[in-house]
Amino acid sequence: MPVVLTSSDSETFTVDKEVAERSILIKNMIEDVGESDSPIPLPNVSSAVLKKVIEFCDHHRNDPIQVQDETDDPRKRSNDIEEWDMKFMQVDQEMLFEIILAANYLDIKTLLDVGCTTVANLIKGKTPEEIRKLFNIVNDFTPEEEAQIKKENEWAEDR
Amino acid sequence: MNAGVPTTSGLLSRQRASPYPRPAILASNAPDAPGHAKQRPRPLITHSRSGSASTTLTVVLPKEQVPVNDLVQLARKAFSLKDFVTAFHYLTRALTIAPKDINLLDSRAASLEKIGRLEDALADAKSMIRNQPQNPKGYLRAGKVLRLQQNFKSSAKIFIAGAERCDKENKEYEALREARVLDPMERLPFELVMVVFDSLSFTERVRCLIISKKWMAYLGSVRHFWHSIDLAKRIPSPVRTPRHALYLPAQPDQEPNNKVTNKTVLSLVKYTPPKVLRLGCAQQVSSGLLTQLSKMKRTTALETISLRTNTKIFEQELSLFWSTTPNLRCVDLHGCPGVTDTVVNSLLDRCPLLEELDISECRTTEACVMINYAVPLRSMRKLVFGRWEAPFAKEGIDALVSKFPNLVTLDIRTMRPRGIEALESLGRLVHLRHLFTDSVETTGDQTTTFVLQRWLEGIPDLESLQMNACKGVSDSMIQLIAAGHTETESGRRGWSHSLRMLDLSSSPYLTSEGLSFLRTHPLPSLHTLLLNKCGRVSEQGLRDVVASSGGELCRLECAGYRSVSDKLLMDIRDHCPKIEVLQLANSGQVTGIGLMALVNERGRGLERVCLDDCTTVGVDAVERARTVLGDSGRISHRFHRTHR
Repeated sequence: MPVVLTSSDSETFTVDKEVAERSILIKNMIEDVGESDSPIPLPNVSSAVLKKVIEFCDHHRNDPIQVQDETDDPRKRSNDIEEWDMKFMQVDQEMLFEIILAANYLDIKTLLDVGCTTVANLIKGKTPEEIRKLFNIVNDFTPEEEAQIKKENEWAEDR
Repeated sequence: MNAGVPTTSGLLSRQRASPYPRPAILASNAPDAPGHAKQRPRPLITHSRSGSASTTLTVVLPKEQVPVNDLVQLARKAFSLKDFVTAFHYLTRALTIAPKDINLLDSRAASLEKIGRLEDALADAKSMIRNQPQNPKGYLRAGKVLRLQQNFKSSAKIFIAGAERCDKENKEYEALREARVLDPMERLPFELVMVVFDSLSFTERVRCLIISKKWMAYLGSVRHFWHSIDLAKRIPSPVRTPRHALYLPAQPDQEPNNKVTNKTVLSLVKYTPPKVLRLGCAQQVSSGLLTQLSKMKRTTALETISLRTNTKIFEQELSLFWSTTPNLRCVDLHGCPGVTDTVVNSLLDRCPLLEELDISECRTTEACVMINYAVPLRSMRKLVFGRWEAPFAKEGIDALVSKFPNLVTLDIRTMRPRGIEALESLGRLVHLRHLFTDSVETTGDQTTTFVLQRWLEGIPDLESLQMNACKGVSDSMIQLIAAGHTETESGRRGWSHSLRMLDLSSSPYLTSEGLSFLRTHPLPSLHTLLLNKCGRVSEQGLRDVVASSGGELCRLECAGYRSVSDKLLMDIRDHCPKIEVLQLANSGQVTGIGLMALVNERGRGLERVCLDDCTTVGVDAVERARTVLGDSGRISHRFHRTHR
């Protein structure tokens, strides 16, 4: 049975229930409301982002639902992004943040993990200057402050 | 002002007093000279008068009639000469004529921005947006000003709103897209930023501290990021750590680090009292740090501290330091000359929770465990004692056994006991699992066998035994180990089933006959077997071991045998389904055929094969094997001049 979703700019998407229920938010909504034809409004997600999210859920429709595992080593996660996910995440940063926010709102843990890992991978191995450039960040330290901190943490630079 | 009339220099100079007519003159007569207007106005005036006084009269117009374009040009010049106040005045004047001109507003905002009147600049930018909501310029300017005001949130909002609203065809649209704030700290809620930084290493986080004040404040506020301060510099290993790594003593995989100083550490502990402090090989860290840490009350949470090979921390500070660290569990003081018996004593007295202690290569003696040995420290699990200069007497070993009755791991490498009999009492450590005694001075195989017998009786489930380069190792030892369980008379208890790691490399008295005993009494749990360079062992002996005990084997080292050929490789292929690391350096008769047979069968399970100095292995076979394994680093095939 298909589910109808409405984005913030009132575009409607019809998806399989199985796909829509990758989102815990939608899953709970369906459970609360019961079977009904009325569309589910998602006021926090724009159509462009929703399209991406549905694409992700559709690709992962058959994956087992991840159980929250607190003992999971967070460092382990960073290395295993699947190839498809990596390609999927090759979007501009604006979209990347939108996807992460949407995944957080819709409660799709796998997508959230992939998104956050992608951001982390962007940061990894870059110098502070490169990171500032990447994210359009203004360096608001005075040159003296910066030199001071840099000196203290010099060891972190060469790796 | 009656600018239309003046004919004398007096009048002209009076005009100069009011800012606006003067530029009008300059505009007509000396278009490339506004810079002079600022610094040396008088000669300029003279010039304009002498040059074309008559034109001046006609061109200088009343204020409201000066063409906007001229004003703009002048302003631009003033701006490029960094005279922002003048530029501002020109633009203000131009704006009285064309109040809705978006370019004028933009330029004036830019001037105001430079002067530092950010509020006014913002007002201009806002009126730009009001006048032309489709034009990206207004958003760009407003966002920039807000950023200068440190108001990043609003600046982000402006950029985003701009990107949504304005005309996509406009050439500035791209600039706007690029200017949008993409700082994860601004765009993501804090709990998500935390997820992002969770997957970054400690070093990466430290590097991120100097991005901006916001990043520093945020990263510093997440306490668990700073619980573990790891400044040790590790050499990255190209190959994944294989499973057997568990049964290896820690390798000193760190290199000297001169960049970490006391200040580094102090700047990192300010966020939260750390639980882990790893300063391995940080040569510049000195005693003052410990004093400072105690003073700042940053030591109470400390559970792990590593000061490997530090030469600048001395006895007195160390001894005092322990009294402020009641929760200490792991201490690594390998190779610190400042560590003496007094230091170890006070450590053992003050830290009742201690579980791991590494004081190898220190200036300690057996006395450090002999004081107070009657009061056992039951929490102690792992002890690394080796490489001392002072010899160890039997009394010392006895004291050690009484002091740490629950030891699981004991490393006494290169210890010089006064006679191997001194080690006899280790048999009382019933919980012992891992025993590393390589290069321990032994006296005769008879006594060694006797000591081993004591150990076998006392220690029920030893998992790792490392006795390489112990001269006392002989065939009777192998028999004892393999047949161990029959001696204890309590069912399956015995080393033959518990042993996972066995290192008997460089044992000159071990022979193939001794190893052939394993055919009838295998060691089925072995993960790791090291039998490098045992002079009296032939290929047949190695094949016996592999065939009988190879089921679990994932690391096999048998380097330095001239007799080893493809037959051993075939045996490994057939009997060792889990093999990951294979060391066959300097093997005399191994060829490419055997290598390919093994590689084709085991495939990518092979993490590393070392065939250094194997002259009979062809280069092309190595290349083919590397292709199969998909990573050229997995097969080593180098030649060392010393062996030729």
